[in-house]
Amino acid sequence: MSEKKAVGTRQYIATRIVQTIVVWFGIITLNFFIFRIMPGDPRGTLIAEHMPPEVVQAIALRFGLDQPIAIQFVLYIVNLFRGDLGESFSHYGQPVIETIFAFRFWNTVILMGTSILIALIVAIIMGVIAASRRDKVIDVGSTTVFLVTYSMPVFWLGLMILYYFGFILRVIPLAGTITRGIVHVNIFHYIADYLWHMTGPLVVLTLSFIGGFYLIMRDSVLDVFTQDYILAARAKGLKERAILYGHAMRNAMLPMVSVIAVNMPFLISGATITETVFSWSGLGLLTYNSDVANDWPVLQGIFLFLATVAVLSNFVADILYLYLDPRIRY
Amino acid sequence: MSHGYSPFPDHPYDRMHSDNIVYYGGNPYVLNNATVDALIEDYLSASPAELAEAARLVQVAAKYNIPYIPLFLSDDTHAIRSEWTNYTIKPGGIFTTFNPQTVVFMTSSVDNSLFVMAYSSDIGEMNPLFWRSERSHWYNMLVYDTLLSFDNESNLIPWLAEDYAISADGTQINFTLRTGAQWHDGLPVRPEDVEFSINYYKNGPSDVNDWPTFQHITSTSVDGQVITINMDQTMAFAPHIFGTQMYVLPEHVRDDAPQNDARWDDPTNGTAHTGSGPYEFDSRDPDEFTLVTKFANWWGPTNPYVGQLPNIDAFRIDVVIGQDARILAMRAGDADSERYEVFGAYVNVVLNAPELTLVTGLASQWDYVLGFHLNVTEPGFPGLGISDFRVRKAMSHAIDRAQLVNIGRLGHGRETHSIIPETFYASLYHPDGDFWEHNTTIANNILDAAGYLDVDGDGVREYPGVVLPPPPPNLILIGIAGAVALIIGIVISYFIFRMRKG
Repeated sequence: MSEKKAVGTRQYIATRIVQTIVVWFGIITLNFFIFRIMPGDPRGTLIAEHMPPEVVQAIALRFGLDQPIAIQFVLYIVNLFRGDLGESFSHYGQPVIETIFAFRFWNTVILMGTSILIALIVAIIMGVIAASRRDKVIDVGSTTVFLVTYSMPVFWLGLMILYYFGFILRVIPLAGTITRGIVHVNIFHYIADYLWHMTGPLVVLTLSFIGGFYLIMRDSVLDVFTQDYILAARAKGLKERAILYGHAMRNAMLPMVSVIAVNMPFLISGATITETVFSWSGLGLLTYNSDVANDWPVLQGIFLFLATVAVLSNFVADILYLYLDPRIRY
Repeated sequence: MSHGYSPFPDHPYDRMHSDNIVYYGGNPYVLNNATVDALIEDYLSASPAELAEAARLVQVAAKYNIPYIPLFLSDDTHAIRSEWTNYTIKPGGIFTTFNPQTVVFMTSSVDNSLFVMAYSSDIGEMNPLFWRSERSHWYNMLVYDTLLSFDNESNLIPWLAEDYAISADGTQINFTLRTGAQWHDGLPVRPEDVEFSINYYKNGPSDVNDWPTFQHITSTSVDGQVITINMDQTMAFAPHIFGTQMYVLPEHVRDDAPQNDARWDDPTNGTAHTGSGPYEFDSRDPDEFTLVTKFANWWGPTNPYVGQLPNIDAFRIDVVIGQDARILAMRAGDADSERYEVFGAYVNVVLNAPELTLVTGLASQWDYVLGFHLNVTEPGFPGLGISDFRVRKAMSHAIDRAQLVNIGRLGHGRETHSIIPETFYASLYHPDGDFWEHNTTIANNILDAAGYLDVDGDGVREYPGVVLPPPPPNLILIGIAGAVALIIGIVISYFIFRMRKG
């Protein structure tokens, strides 16, 4: 890399860092105000009808809800940089950090991470195979199947799986991350029980993810097939398998970096509907419950975390491009 | 809109007193009437002898101000697996926090070892001083005892206390603690524990439940098994609040930590959840389940209103989020019932499920009302519209509550005509407070007399004094005239053109 190019790259990275910080600040500001302008009042969660006015006032004071919005915003920013995201309204008095990260974060990361990983592997393999056999049965068949699963509403698919496999066939549990009320004899028993409970939501999420990944991979491989270097590889007499996996697939993977970056927030946010259908206690379900309960601090915490991951993953993807594709220079 | 009833009718204060006209207050109707305020204050500070008349006056005041129109109470259409019977039928439903009898008397024809209650979300708090939902409150009711409870007609009955007495002026209450009661750790429940609990509530932070009522306590004392509470004023529902809303807590567990200490919500600290209730805390996995097991030394057999230990060995509260999933869980036997009643189309789903029974025939605690915001007026028409009592009265006459129940609750509900409805609070209901009968002729006559007339004949009444704007021009006639003029113009032009050409 010439010195001129290196300087350009450094400038690009520095610019992206500044942009990322500015965007992040914009997001945390929006993150505060968006909940103040949406309908609903958190005191609806905190304050039951029969609470006397003095208690209503005491609760408002405790959570700073009596302060002007500008003061609330300053407090929010100051506390944010102290690592204090406040206390949950609906988990009365519990620190938001604990509400989010104690166990729900891990439930979501495990569920979403596994489903995205499986979906990516299946989509990449099937995308390459379908592209290499364009318009053949396997191409048309897999495209049709994955378009159908991609188009199906996840709540409907989830309920069908719950009904047929959970209720009729009794092969998966109807709710939760573990069997309720049992004492697991050891860690392996716990893991097996956990994975069994993960089956339903995992199938739903994997099916819903595969379609998008598959179509991008297939199109990407088809695009690579039109490139001159594929023609050159064929002209050199390389075997089709070597061309497919050694040249076509590797180059077609580049757009998948963007896809993975775009999907990173899902890894954290969870799948609200799927988690709700299967009572999977993750961040998606927490988002739903917090929204219903107008639990602003928890929603702010989740969205802040989500936005941070989204901004960072896009930044990392942009930087990765520099190293994955030697043609990209700034 | 809907509200919820507690087992004693203190809601007129929440809904109609000007104290509660605050941002997110209990008086969203903004009824700000000094006379009504005074009547409510008299009601809440009535001695036992004055209470019925004070309640009558409050009901009449509501009738003649109409901040909201009572419509109906939904029925407690609870789904429960068919093998369970002998749940207690009382106003509010079979599973309320003021129905501890159900968890004692309910029994299964198949297996009494476990009852699983499906919740739509986690119980949240475990600390009985800070319950913030009926879900956590119901858990508290299993683990902790109150001094008093309610019978099936919502009258106070002895519970952990074996007796109680109120002075004639209502400023002193004596609770006589039952002898032989034990905490879950085996230590005896002492009158000093009750006195400690009263002061623990009183001296807690101001967001402790019912904290303001406790501030009226001037002194407490213990004499033998009798705990005396003295107050600085008469409070009509003080026996209800101290007797049924305050959970008795063990001094030896609680006295070394503040009321809002984190340990009281810590599921790993079993000692922190020591109570004297019919069930003792066993284990909990937040967002998954909370398990309580039968307390073998509960005092139930010594109380003639109970007479036994609970039939069920353990209760488990499971989190099952969706209504569909909860019904499937009940049908599959993974759950036995759910915390709240089923609504809408799910009622028929339950009725068609052979494994389930739909409990019907008793009112839930959820009441539906037609509410008004009395400060909202049409610009240019101050005092008219819903600000006008005559309009609200006409609306009250016009509402067919039976039809609302049929449409809104598929028939599973009961009409309410007073703000203290007979269905729920038979002892304090008074027919003088019944809202205006359903009669659309009277409703129309009221509006006619008040000048709300349909002056433009479009089926919608206008405000009094509205003058109709002049009628719009007849576009058809204008069009025809224009067309005729155009034709004449063309004809004339044609002849002029011909004459010039000729």
